[in-house]
Amino acid sequence: MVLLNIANNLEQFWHFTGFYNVTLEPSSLIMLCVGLLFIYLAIKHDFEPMLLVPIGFGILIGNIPFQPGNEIGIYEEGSVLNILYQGVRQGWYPPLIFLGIGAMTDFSALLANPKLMLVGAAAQFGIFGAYMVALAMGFMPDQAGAIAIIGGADGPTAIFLSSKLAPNLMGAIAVSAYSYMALVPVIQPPIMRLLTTKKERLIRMKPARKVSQTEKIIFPIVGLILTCFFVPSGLPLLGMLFFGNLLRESGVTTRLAKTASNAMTDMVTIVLGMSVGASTQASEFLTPDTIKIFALGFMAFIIATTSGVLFVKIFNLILPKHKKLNPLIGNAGVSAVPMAARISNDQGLKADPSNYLLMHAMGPNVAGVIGSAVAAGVLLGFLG
Amino acid sequence: MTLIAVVAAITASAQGRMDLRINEVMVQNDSNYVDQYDHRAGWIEIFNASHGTNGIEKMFITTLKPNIIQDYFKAEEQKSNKKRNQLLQELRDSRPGEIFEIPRGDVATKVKPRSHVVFFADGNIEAGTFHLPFIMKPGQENYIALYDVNGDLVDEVTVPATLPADQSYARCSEDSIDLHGSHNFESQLWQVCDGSTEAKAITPAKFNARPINNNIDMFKKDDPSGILLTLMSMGVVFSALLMLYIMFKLFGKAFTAKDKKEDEVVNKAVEEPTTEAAQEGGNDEAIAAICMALYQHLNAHDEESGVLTFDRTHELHSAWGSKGNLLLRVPERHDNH
Repeated sequence: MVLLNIANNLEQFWHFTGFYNVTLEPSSLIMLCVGLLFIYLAIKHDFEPMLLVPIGFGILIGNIPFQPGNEIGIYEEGSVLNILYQGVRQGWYPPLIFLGIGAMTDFSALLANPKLMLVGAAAQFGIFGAYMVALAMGFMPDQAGAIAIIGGADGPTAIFLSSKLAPNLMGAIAVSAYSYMALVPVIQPPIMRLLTTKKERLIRMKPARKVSQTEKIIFPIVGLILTCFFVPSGLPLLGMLFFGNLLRESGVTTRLAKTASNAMTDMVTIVLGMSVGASTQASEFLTPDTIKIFALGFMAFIIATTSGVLFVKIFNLILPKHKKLNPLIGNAGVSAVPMAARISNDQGLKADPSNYLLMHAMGPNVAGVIGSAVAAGVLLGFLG
Repeated sequence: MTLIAVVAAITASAQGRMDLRINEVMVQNDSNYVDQYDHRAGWIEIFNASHGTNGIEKMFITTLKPNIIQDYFKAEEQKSNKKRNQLLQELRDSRPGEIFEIPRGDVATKVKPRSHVVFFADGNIEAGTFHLPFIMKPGQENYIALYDVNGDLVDEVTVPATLPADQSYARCSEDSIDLHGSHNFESQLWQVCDGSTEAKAITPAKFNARPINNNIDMFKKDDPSGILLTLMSMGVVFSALLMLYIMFKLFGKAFTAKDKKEDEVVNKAVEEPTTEAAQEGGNDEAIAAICMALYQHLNAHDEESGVLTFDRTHELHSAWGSKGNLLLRVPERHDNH
């Protein structure tokens, strides 16, 4: 009798274990491998480690097989993971990240040469190009909009918009966005070289003028009012971005700016990355739609880079000779800050070892942050 | 004072829960919706049209026509400084069968965003929070009004006398509600629902019409390729950033001009003594000394804040967290000395 009880208890315990439950959901193993791959890429190859480590580990957490009903899983109401996930699900974390981005971004390069804002706007065509392709692939307009935002190369924006327009696709969209952001150094250079001539790559840009502190203080205030009057739906992102920047530039809230750009951003990044990773459960993630989303995300990055570079080339046609822009900064119109600007710089140095484009590329790069938030607001306004 | 009055009025209006609407009414309920005791009575459905939770406690539901209430307000306001909600409470006490103040303390009176709540007009307030003190009269026009906590009219409806039993008088769709205006009773937005079709379904505590996302349906139908949305969206993105560009181009010009002016003043200040010195004898060393002195004076001098403060010289942690700070330093022996 006692032995029978022990056997029953052991059998019950066996049913609780991951070893048993993985037999019911074997696709979890694939997701565990994806998580391990992310961690490997982050640690070994330094691909966006701040994001890929939390996401990768989150994937491991979210795909350990278990018996539901004990408030463990991310989709089980009341569980710790579920509570943390609400910040993603309800779109709370992305604006907080934007607060930090605002507090750590120096818009001087953009203010010194404001026409670079247009490069940031042009690169957003990646989003809308991908939107059209997504529609052609059979996605509904709201889903297509959520997927297309990957082209903005901005993880928090992608999470924010997909949480509003297509929550069921959010995991795949977020992972896709962050993966391609990590792969920006691989995706962008060949396109940049393909679309530019040697002569264009050698263009030296006029050194940026000095930007006064007053201009820096005015920028977040005017920027908020102008952009949000156009796109009030972008308020959560743009409001926080410009607020963070005012904290930085005002000169009287240094402590707040430091906290926003360091401790707070780090904390939110940890929870955001982990929750997004954990939300990619095999049953939700391993679907044909995910493959399509990854394909569309890749396409969106290519279109964004292409449109940025081509826009600069076209823009150069109307600019006077001494004000011409180097088309290599066009790729930086996507908002992968500062990765995309660094790539412009690297490509510029390859063409001419004394031509440093980093500061010039930072202009479209930070304009891209604003541009992608505006684009997200537009999509939310039209499709929300 | 005017400003304070305006702010107070806006605040009062904001607190006034103006987003609540009477949404559907059934006067005679013979075989329809039942209450928690399985009893049937006429019912009034209220809809929270906003995107936030609205508490309806202390609001008023009444069958009294506005002229009666307004006359009472006018008469009483001349006599005393009482607020309108106090006057409505007095009216409730004097005409208890015609006006009902929704009680406080029931969590169910917090109406979630875009949600409905149903009141039974059974004349029995003892039955619970959602039971009204009056009964609607079949075969007659029934006027129902909703007043907010400040005693301001939120919404009203006149149910036609011809409404048959077991049929409701309802808004055609919740989407027709204008959140920016005050109550908007327009009879063409209402219809008699007999349950014969989906559009005429009787829907207590539910949406009268299926909520639809017009935007998505419209884009799916009218813009299947996405070109229209792309053009519009890129237009908006470009316009927003173009405005920023123009604005900061102008700011840039203004600030550059200001900087130039300041530079000119400085240069002038530097140039004038130099010229004089050159005229006096052309002594290069003197010119250099004057330039250096001016440079030191204008640019290179350290500016001290003039603020004295206490600052820790070493070790950021406090003595509470470190035993090292509590220990006496052991004298070090230096053999050289």
